[in-house]
Amino acid sequence: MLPQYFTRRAALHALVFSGLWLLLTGGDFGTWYLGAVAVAAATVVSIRLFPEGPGWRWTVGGTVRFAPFFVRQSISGGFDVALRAIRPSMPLDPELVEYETSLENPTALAFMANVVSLLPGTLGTEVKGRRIVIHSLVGARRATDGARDLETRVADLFGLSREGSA
Amino acid sequence: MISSLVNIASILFVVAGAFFFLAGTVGLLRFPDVYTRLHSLTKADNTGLGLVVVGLAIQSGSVLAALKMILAWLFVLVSGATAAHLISTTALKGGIRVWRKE
Repeated sequence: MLPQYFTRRAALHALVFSGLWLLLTGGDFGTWYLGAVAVAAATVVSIRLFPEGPGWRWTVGGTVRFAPFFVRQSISGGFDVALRAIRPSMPLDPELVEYETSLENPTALAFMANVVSLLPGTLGTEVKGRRIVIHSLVGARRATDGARDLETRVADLFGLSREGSA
Repeated sequence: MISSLVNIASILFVVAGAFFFLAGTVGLLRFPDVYTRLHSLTKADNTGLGLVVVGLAIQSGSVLAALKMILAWLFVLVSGATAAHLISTTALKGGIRVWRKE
């Protein structure tokens, strides 16, 4: 029955979710049966929703390089929007920008579309194929430059080589 | 001495975090359309909660508790960015127009 749940991949997911559960409960085994239900449910959902197969993996080096970039950009993004909100003149001049990525992997693309929303002045909206529609408060130019930079870092994080990139 | 330095650092981080939450709420109230409001919410929450977590983590005195808070921050990031993405996609598809400067 359901052979996709008896694979190394499913076991690995279940292991990671068990670790998360232990962390969230502070290492308390008293309610392990609730944890078991949560871990089983999360494993089933992740196996069903995540596209299978190779093509990407989290790279340690990529993560080490990505984390400080993300923290820096988060702080600058927070400041940017906070100042726009509290300044009496409320400087807003939104634009919609389409950015075509060369990321083919759907997981990497979804990750990128979400992270765009956390960077300064940009909000990732609709994803059409490989095009991300970006709602930008910082103009088209800066949104495109930011997306291009992010794309390189996401490819690095996921261990992908991109077509057409040097 | 060390503990009062830690306390001062905590206070600074938490107050800075609270500032971002406040600014995010001001943006939510002042900004003109759904897209600009999402900017304000997602980014202010990200930065504000991140700073509050740093301030509390250095008070916790336990690596496990600190990791748990960082994990909570990451979950808020993922759910916030996903919600912002879904709301803005639905708004665009539903024909809600982007506010433009006059």
